[in-house]
Amino acid sequence: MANETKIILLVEDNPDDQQLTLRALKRHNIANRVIIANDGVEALDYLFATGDHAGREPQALPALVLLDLKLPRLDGLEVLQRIRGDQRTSLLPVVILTSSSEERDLINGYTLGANSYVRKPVDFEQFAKAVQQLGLYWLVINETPPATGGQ
Amino acid sequence: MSARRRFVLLAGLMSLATLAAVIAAIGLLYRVTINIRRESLLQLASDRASLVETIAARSDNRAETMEEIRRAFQRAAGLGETGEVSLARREGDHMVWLVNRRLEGSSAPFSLPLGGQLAEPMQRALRGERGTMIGRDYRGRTVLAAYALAPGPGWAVVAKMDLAEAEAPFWHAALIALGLTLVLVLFGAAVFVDLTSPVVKQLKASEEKYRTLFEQSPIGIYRTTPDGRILLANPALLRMLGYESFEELSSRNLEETGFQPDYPRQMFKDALERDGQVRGFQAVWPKKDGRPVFVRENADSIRNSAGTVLYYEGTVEDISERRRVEQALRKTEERLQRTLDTMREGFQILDFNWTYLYVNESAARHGRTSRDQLIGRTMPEVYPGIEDTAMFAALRTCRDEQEPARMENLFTYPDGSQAWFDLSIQGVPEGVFLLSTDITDRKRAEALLRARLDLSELAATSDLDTLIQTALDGAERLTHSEIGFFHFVDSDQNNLTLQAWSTNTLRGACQAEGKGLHYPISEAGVWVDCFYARAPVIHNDYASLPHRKGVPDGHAPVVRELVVPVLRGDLVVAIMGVGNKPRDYAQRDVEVVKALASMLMDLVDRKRAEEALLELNVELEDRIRYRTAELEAANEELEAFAYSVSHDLRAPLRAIDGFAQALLEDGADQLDEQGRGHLDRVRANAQRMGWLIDDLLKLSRVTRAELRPEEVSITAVAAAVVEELGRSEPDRRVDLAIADDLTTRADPRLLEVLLANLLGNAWKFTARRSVAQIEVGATEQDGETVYFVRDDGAGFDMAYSDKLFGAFQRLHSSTEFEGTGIGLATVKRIVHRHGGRVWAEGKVGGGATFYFTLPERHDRELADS
Repeated sequence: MANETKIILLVEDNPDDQQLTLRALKRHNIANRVIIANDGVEALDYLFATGDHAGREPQALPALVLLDLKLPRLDGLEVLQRIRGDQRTSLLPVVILTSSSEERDLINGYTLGANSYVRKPVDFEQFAKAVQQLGLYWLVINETPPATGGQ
Repeated sequence: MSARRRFVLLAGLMSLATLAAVIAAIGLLYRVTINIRRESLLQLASDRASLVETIAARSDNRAETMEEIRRAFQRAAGLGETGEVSLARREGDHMVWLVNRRLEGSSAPFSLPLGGQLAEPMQRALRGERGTMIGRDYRGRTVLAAYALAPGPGWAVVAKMDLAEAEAPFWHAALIALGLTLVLVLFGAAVFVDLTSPVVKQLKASEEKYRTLFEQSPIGIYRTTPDGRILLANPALLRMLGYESFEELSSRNLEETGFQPDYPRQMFKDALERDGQVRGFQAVWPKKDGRPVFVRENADSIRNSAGTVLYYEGTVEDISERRRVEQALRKTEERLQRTLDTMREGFQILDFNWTYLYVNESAARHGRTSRDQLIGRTMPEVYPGIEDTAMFAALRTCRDEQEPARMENLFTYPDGSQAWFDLSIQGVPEGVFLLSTDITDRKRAEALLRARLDLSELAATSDLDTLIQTALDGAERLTHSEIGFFHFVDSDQNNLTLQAWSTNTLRGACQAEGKGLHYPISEAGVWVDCFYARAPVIHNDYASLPHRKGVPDGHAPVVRELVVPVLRGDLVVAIMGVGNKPRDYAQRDVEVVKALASMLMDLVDRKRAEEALLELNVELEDRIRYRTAELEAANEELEAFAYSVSHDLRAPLRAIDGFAQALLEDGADQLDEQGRGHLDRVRANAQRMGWLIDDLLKLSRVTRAELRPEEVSITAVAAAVVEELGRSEPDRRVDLAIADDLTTRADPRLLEVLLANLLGNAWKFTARRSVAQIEVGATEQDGETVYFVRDDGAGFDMAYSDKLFGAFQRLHSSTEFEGTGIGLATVKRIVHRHGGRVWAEGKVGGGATFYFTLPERHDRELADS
């Protein structure tokens, strides 16, 4: 249903959550390619084509970043800050997808420019529903900004 | 009689007199004229008679003789037209004219009988008489005739002329004279009138003037008689006395009883009789209506030539107003004088040579002298040496350069004592004006205040010894003493601790050491009298005191002393003393020492208390710092814990739930009914764990959240919460009653959580009611607003009411009602954070009511206080 050329970047360190997210996407027939970054550094490497992703074409940005907050090395908020601080990625849709609904996380997330904040429910049914709605909205309904990468 | 008429009359009389004189003169002239005629006629007659005599004697020829005589007679001349000389003789009883000019030519001699009316002169002549007369001639005409007899022949001669002709020249002259006289009289009258007319006019004008003056004068003018009649009174006088007309006034008599009850008329009359006049005579006259009018009169007595007083004339001035003004002025002056004398300020005026011109009571008092001692004397005389003072310099500057001055001056009396005055010096026409205010007390109070201020300022930064030293030095300075000491008295009231000597005492007067020296009161000198008296003691005659003791070695001799105890309740806690003032100590010195000693002791007490407090504070601060650190650490831990729980505790549950679900989906064919049931239970528990964690986080959030109170409507929040509940279970039938206008001051988010929990409970526990009753309201209890949420649901057993608000405490099984047991703990937390109370009433199956209060004072403010 969604444009399958659009890439989803899932920044998530918990393999269970990675798998459950993929399962939820698949269950709702969202067949887009999902790139998984296990921590913040990896996520940035992918986005800016550095480190392990040095050979990647940097112009090809994901259509959506699903960003967990509690991450090893570089946490989600720092990743978000870097994304918004860089001209290439400043307009990238970033949805925070995390377990916490702590007030300070919400405030920090939105302050740093998150497009959306979704709390992962414990109930998988609800989780799957949330992931489906996210995919539907950001990959289908929402118009992405024109590519601004490249100097 | 008017002057004009007098003048006219005078002129008339003068004219008449002139006329009379002229007529008299004419009369005289007439007589003279006639007499001259008579003389000449007599002469003529006599001459003719002589002639006749002579002729008759010479010849006897009668005819001849007659002819001669006739000729002689005809020659007669100078008798005018009517004059003639006739000669007649007697023939029988007739007289026969011999010669008569008028009768010449007639045929018969003319004769007339003797004794007839006619020719009287001839008859007289024939009788031998000689003379002149006015009588009728032979024709009957009135003539002036002279007659004589020539005795020889007996012929009579009459020379005569008509009286009219004889008088004619006279009449002629008289007429001319009269005419001339008339002309002269008329001319004279005209000249007279002309000459007198300006005088008349002048008189008239003057009279007019006098009348105007009389009528218009603001001063009363009168004329009265000694017997009291009023002859004249001008309008001013009438007005003055309140009469309508002169007639009304003049109907009264001054001698009348009661007319002038207080008017010393006799005195007035006596003076007038004696001196002929009174001047400035003052009296009180009654007006017509009886009210008095104050007058001053000048009067003169007018006498006739015999010296009898005819009447009094005088002028009257109404001086009521002037008297009133004068009285007011006098009163004002007296008041001023009195005021000046009762004022605290001294007033004095010195002339240019420093002589006291005016001194009020206070000024004399300030100088410690009397007015009599000052007035008329000069300032340097009274206060020798004053010329060298700054005050006198200011006076001199003021006198010479008109430069006013204002100064505070310490005045030294001849006995050496001093007083402070606030002086204001300024020039006045007579010399120099000096205003003095005694400010000695104020100065002393200021000095004392300054000393106390210094002391209190010092108190913050100085130690006890400095404070005592300063207070002591101040007391010494302010009482002009030379020594000073301060002792603490031990609480057992038996021993003294010498704390300090004054700086001055230490420097010069006393070499004795002794700080901190303890000794029993019983061994102290007379200065501890104040200890026993519990009151200040003055010894101005120290040397004569019988129970005095020696002073320490090196201690200056004590001449006078003043010692003051400082009391705390019944105990004497300290003693402050000063000594050796050059003059006797007085009560005001006591006040100074007392004030400073008392203040010093207050400062000592405060200082001691401060020190104690400081120690306590340090300890307290340490404790608080420790506690705060502990609290902060705990808070941080809680924060980290909650954060960690929020993130990490839920992820495994989600994995459990998620993979159980995956297993159910992917391995459905390999699982039997029981297996699926077990997996469902796994999932249910994982989810319940998730709620528990969420609720715990909420509770923790309530605890951690910052309180932001504002005006908030409970009614509105409750309605919103119930609406949300209704949306989740649209089939429930709930009869809801929320009181209007419930407002309070609270944190809106926490209030919403509170109401969500209470209403959530009410909603939940009325689930089995076909129509549930839920009420939100408020009542007053002991002046406090108590809110409540009431339902008619399952209720609870009051025996367990104390467990209601504990975390994880549940009174119902999960199978009966779902729940984590954290809701009411959260409610309690929120209410407590607002400084309120929460409690519940209910019974099993009988519904429950939850009460809570939200006072204005919230925990943040509590923490601040």
